[in-house]
Amino acid sequence: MNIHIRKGHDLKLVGAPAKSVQDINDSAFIKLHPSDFPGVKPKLLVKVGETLKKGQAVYNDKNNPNILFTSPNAGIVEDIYFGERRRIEFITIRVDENAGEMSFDQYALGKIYELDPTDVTDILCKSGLWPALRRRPFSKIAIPHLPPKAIFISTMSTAPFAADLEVILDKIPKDNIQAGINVLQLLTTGSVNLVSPKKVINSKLSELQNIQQHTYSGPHPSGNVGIHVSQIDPIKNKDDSIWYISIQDVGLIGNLFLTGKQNYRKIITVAGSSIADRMHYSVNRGTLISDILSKNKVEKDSRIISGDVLSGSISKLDNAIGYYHESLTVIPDEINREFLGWIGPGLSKYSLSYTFLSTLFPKREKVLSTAMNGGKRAILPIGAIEKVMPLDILPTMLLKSIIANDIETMEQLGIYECDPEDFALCSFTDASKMDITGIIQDGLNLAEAEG
Amino acid sequence: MKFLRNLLDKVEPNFVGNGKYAKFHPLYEMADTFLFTPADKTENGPYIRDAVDLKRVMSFVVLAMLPALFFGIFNVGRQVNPDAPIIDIFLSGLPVVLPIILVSYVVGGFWEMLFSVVRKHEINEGFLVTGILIPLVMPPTIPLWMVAIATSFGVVIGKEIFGGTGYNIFNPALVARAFIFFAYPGAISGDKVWTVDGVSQATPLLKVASDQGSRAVELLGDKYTWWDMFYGFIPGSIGETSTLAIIIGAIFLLITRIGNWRIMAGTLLGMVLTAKLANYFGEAVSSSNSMLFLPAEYHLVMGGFAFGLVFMATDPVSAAQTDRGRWIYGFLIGFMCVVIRAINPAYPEGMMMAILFANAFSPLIDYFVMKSHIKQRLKRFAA
Repeated sequence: MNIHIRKGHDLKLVGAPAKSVQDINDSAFIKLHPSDFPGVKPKLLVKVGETLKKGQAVYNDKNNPNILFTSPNAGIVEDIYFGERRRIEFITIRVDENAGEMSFDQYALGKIYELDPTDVTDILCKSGLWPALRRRPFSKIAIPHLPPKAIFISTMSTAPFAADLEVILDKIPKDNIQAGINVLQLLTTGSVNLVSPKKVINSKLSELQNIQQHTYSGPHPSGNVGIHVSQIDPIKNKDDSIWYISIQDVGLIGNLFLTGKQNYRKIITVAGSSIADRMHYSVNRGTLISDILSKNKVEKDSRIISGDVLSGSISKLDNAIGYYHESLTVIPDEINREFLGWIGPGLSKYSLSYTFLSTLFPKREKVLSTAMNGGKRAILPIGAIEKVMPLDILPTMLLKSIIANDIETMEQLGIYECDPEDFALCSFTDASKMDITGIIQDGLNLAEAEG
Repeated sequence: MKFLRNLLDKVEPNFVGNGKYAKFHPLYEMADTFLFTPADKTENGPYIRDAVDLKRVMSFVVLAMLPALFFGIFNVGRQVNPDAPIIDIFLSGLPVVLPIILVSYVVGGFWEMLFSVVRKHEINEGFLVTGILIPLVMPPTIPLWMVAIATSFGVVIGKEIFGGTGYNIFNPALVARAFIFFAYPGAISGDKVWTVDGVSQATPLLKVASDQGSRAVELLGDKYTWWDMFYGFIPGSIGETSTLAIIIGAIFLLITRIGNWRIMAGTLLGMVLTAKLANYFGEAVSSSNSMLFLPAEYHLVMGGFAFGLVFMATDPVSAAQTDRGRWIYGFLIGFMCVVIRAINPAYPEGMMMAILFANAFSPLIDYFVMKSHIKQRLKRFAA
C-alpha cells in the first residue's frame, strides 16, 4: 500500500548533502555515550586500561542485563567519564586494531529460518546490535522475548538532509538485507514491513522476499515510522507494541549472521549551511564528530547537531555521532537581531504562516539559524499546528490534556501513537513558541510511568 | 539602529538579576523585543523555528482592523462636518475617536504591565488587539471615563483573573462592552448615542425593531438603503458600520490564515439559515414581529454582525479549538444572533450576546468533538 499524506511540510533549507560517499577510517579514539539510549541504566563491564576486542561488551543495561553495548572497534579503554550523580557520560576507547575481534557462528541465507527465536535474540543481544531495534510506544530499546505485533523497517527519513536511500542501498549487499529480514521475521508473530519512498525504485528492494512492502509519499513527516505504523498497524493501547529499525541496521544484522563477524559501519550525511563539504560519509559507530569533520570547514559560531535539525541532539566536536543518528547537521548559531523585525515585509523569512512576503516564493531555499524568532507565550490555537499533523490526533486537545496531567484523556486521545518527532513541525511552526515536542515527551513519560 | 541597540544593552544590567529595576524586567523585555527580534536560541529540537511569532500575528489582526477604523473615523467626521472635503471630514472625526483609542490603550496597557510585573512573565501582545477592539465597538459619544472603567473590567475580570491571554473564557473586548451595556445602558443603547452631532438617530436595527406589524425592509424606507448600510454611512458603533471595510479586513485575515475561515463560514451559515427560517416562520404564523421578516442580507450589513463575525468570533482563545468545533461554534453565533435580534425587540443588537454565549459554550463544544473523536478512534481500532 502507498501511504500518502497531505498535512506536513518539506523544509527547504540551504545545505543539502551531495550523493558522493567518503570513508572515515583512521580514528585514534572512539566514544560511547550511554545517553544515546533513553531509559537505559548503564552498568560498566570494563575498567580503564582494559584491552577490548572489537564487539566486546563495554556496559549493559541494569534493567535488561542481557542487552550488551559493545565496542565498535578493538582497542584499550582510555577513560570513563562520570558526570553529575556519577552518571556515565562517555567511555573513550583508544583504537588498536591488533586487539582482535569477537566472532559468532555463520549461517547460510537459507538456514536462518530454522534458527530458534530465543537463540537469535541472544546473538543479537551479545553482538551489540540489539539496541538498533526500538519499540513504539516510547521509542526505547526493544524488550527481548516480548514479541511485537509487527516490525517496521524504515528506509529514508523525510527530515532535512536525510541520508539518501539509493546511496545506502549501493553500500549494502542484497543478501545482507534479506538475511536481516529473515532474522527479524523470527522475532515477531506478525509481519515485517518495509516502507520506502514511492519515488525510489530499486531492484535491491523489489527482489526482497518474506516481507510486506509499502511506499510513502507526501511531505515530511511522511517518512516517520509513527506515520507508517498508524496507517498499517496502529498502536491501540499501552500494551500494544511494534518494533522498528533502520534498513542500515537490518543490513548489519544480516552481515552478522552471514559472516559471523561484526560490522558497525553506517552511512551518514554531513549537511547544513555552516559546513563546507556536504556529502555522505561512511563511518563506524562511535566515531568522533571531530574526526568526521576533520578535513571540513565549520563556520564560526555554528551549532553542531547529531541527527537531523528537527529531532537530533545538540552535540560538540569531541562527542561521537549518536547511535541512531544518520546525519550530522551544522547550522548558524549566531542571531542577527533585526530592527522592528515583527512588522517587516519579510522577503527572506522562512515561515509556514502566510504573514511574510516570502510566502510568494515558496521554493526558495533559506538559511535558518538557531533563533527562536519570538517569545514563549500561552497556547494560541489558530489552527497552524493542525496543518502539519497527519496523524489522526487532535493536537491542541492532546497538548492540553498532557499539561493538565490527565492521563486517561491523553490515552483516549492516542498518546501511544505519538512520538516527539512526529510533532517536530508543530513545534517549528507554533507562533507561541511552545515546546510541543517536549510536552509530548512529558506525556509519554507520564503515561509510561503511571498509565 | 546601532545606537538604540547599544543603549538597550547598556541599560540591560539594571533590569536583570540584582539590578536596580529587576522587578520591571517585563518592561525592558517588551521594549527590547519590540525594537529588535529576540535573542533567544532554541534549546531542544527542532533547532530551527518559524519566523512567525505572536507579535506578528497580533499586529496583523490590528492591521486588518485599520480599514474599519479609518472608515469609522470618517463616518464620525461626517456627522460633525458633513459637507467638508474628504480629508477634512476625516480630520474632524479624529478628535472624537483618537481619545477613546488612547484611553483604551493606556488603561489596558497599564493593567497588562502591572500583571506582567507581578506575575513575572513577558508582556503579552494580546492587548494590542483588545485595545483597538474596545474603541471600535463603542458608540462615538461614549464618555472617556466609561471607556477607562470598561477597559479595566474587560482586561482584569475578562482576562487577567483567568491567567492572562490564552486562558480567558470570554473575549475581553466583549466583556468590556457588556459591562457598559449592563452598568450604563443609557450610554450604549437607544437612539441618542450613535451620532456626535446631537441629533438623535436610531440605528437601522433599532428602527426595524421599534415598529411592529410591518415588513422590516419597508420600515427602513429610503432613510437607509442596503448599499448605505453596506458602505457604512449609518449611525452605529465606531468600527462596525461599514461592512465593506470589514470585508477588506476579513480578506486580509483569511489570506494570512490568521482568522479561522471555519468560524467565519459557520457564523455566516448559521445566520443565513436562521434568518431564512425566521422569515418562513413569520410568514407562516403571520407574525407582527417585524424583525422576523428581516432578510439575511440585511442581517449581514446591520448592527455588529459583520464586525463580530470577522474580529470577535475568530478570537482563537475564546472560540472552539477543534476544526469541527469551530463550525459548530460559528453556527451557534449566527443562530443566536438572529434569534436574539428577532425575539428580543428591546435589545435588537444580538451579536455581542451571541458571541459571549458561544464563548461560554465553546469548551463544551470542544468536549463533545473530543468525545466523538475518541469514539471514532475506537471504531477504527476495532475494524
